[in-house]
Amino acid sequence: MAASEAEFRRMLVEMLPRLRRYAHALAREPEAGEDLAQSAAAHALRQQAFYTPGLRFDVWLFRLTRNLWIDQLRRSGARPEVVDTDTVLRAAEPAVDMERRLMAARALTAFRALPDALRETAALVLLEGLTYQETAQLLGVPIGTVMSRVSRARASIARFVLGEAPHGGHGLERHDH
Amino acid sequence: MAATGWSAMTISDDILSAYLDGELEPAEAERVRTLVERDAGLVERLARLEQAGVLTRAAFAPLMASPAPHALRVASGERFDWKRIVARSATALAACAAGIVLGVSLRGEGAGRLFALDRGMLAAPALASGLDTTMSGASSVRGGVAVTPVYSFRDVDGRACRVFRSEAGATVLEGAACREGGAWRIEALAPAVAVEGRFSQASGDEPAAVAGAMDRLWADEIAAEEEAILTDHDWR
Repeated sequence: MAASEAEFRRMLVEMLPRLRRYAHALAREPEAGEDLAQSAAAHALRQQAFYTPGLRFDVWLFRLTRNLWIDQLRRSGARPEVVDTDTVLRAAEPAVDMERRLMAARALTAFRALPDALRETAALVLLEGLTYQETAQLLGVPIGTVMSRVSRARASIARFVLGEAPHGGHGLERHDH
Repeated sequence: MAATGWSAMTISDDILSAYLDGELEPAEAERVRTLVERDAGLVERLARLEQAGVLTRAAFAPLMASPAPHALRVASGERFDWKRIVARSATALAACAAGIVLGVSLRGEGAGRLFALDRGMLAAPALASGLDTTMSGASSVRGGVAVTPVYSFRDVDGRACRVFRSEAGATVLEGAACREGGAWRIEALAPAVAVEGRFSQASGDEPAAVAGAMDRLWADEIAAEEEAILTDHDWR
């Protein structure tokens, strides 16, 4: 049984901030992020008959958004992006203190520079708070891969924002993906 | 995720990261805690990985805090809850109704004096002055024109806008205007429909005259406190 239309709209509107964050995280560029969020919202409305009440709505919406993003990548022929530092700084504007703001801006730069696989995994775990299990299911990869990707995303962002680790070696890093 | 054989030197980032995400089995997590307690280098490694997540979330916080663009809200099928907005403006509507019942003393006729539509659609001085200086719910009369702002909002371009009702003689109009380049640009304007001395909005219906424009414009409410500040500064 599908959710009532009013209930579905309510859930969708409630999810808009997270949908935007996820879309921006996938698309890297703010404008492309807004476009993706908008396509995803419109697509979700058309697909609402396929949502089963009781299942996680955020996961359903993320999966649908990710599919749209993958379609877009395929169509455009994925290419490396240029990160505009000014945009990054502006995006972090309302942060409270200057140093933290700059560090958040650098973290965003580092996040956007991550390879797609690391970035989309980190978006689900670090930003959206999904478990490794939920993330693995959504992405169709083993849990170990999720663990490794999140760890490498963190390490890469930390290196960029905080500099090289003083103690050198990071133990047994895995490179299965 | 084998729990055996880790030392502070050999524990991997994968394990530390999974620990931060609460993804380790209780025994594994306990083992990490024990190692971290004994090793300052490990504390730092853990802190760096934690910071990476915290800062990334912080980087997206402004986006989360900013209102969703109108286009996205429309795409998601959001319908503006006029009943809620209008209920919040109950005082304003009561004032409007009272204005009609009491018959605000007005001279002259017609909308010609309400709006000078040269230079596009800009509010004429009487209306502009009313919008500049009157809080929502209050009325002011200048040059034979009564102006009652009903509520204020910010539009998709960040402009400060007001929905208002205005009377000049027998003509009662409702509309929306947005502050732009030192003037009030009229975004919607139509005759208001009074039913038994009360306007249709009083029943909680959508204000038809401005609904189309509002669907296009509305981005966020301007709360009473912000409105008071804007009014103090003539909305400049």
